[in-house]
Amino acid sequence: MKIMNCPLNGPRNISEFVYGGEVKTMPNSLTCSDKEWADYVFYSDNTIRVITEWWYHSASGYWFIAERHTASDEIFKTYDPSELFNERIEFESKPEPVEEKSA
Amino acid sequence: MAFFNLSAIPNARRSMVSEAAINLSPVITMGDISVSARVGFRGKGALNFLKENGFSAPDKPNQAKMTELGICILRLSNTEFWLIDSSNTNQSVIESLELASNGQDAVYRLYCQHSHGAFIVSGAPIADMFAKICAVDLNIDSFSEGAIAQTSVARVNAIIVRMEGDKSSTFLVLSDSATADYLWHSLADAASEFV
Repeated sequence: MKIMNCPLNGPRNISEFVYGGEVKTMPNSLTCSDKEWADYVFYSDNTIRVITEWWYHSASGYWFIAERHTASDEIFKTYDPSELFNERIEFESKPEPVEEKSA
Repeated sequence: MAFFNLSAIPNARRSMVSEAAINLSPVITMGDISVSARVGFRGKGALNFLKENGFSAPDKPNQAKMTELGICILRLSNTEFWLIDSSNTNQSVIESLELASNGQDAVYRLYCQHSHGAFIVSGAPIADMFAKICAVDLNIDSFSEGAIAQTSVARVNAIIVRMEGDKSSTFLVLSDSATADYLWHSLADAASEFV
């Protein structure tokens, strides 16, 4: 069994963790293009390097960040997301409600 | 509204555990305390809110502390706290705390009363028994009094707490209500070896 070090709970079996995707900067959903939004939601670079990822410890409901090499699968560092995110992100205006068109 | 949360009404609660009387081991005893009062709070203001209401929470996450009233305070993360009245004699205290949290800034009420089953498992070989079903070392040397482990037990998620003082060979076990009955029988099965 692989072991991952949870920043909150310490070393735990890898089966207790769920992968949550790469850490990316969210584009402003109000102003970005569909392509930019799709790129943010669906696509990843898939290159061989150390990447920064979201991981979730399911037994404690805790999200954190891990730095992992995509080829060796070695985990170099895990830490609390507050190290990267320390304030709530708000976008200034709300989108216009989309009117449903009848067929 | 007399009650902020329906779960505060004791006679409306029920345990998910069937055959609660099951006990296969003479040296390990198990008790179902799923209907005992409990309340949870999360948020940046939760620690201060508890302090203002006379509850001093543990300093670090994954630590538990017993109050003089017999309410166990679990600190499950930096900003999440559960209060468990294992003796089920402090309903009014839990209830008033629950009401006091209503409208507080950065304090969010958690519905842990009906989301989880709660058990008391006790006996000298408790750590050996849990070693059969849990990957975390729960021996007293590495899992001291008041320690909490949030981990997988018998392949389902659970919160394990080692009680303090003369109850140091007692574990409080919490698991999602959907898995509580399964875990109860798994624990009974694991205990049956110890005679």
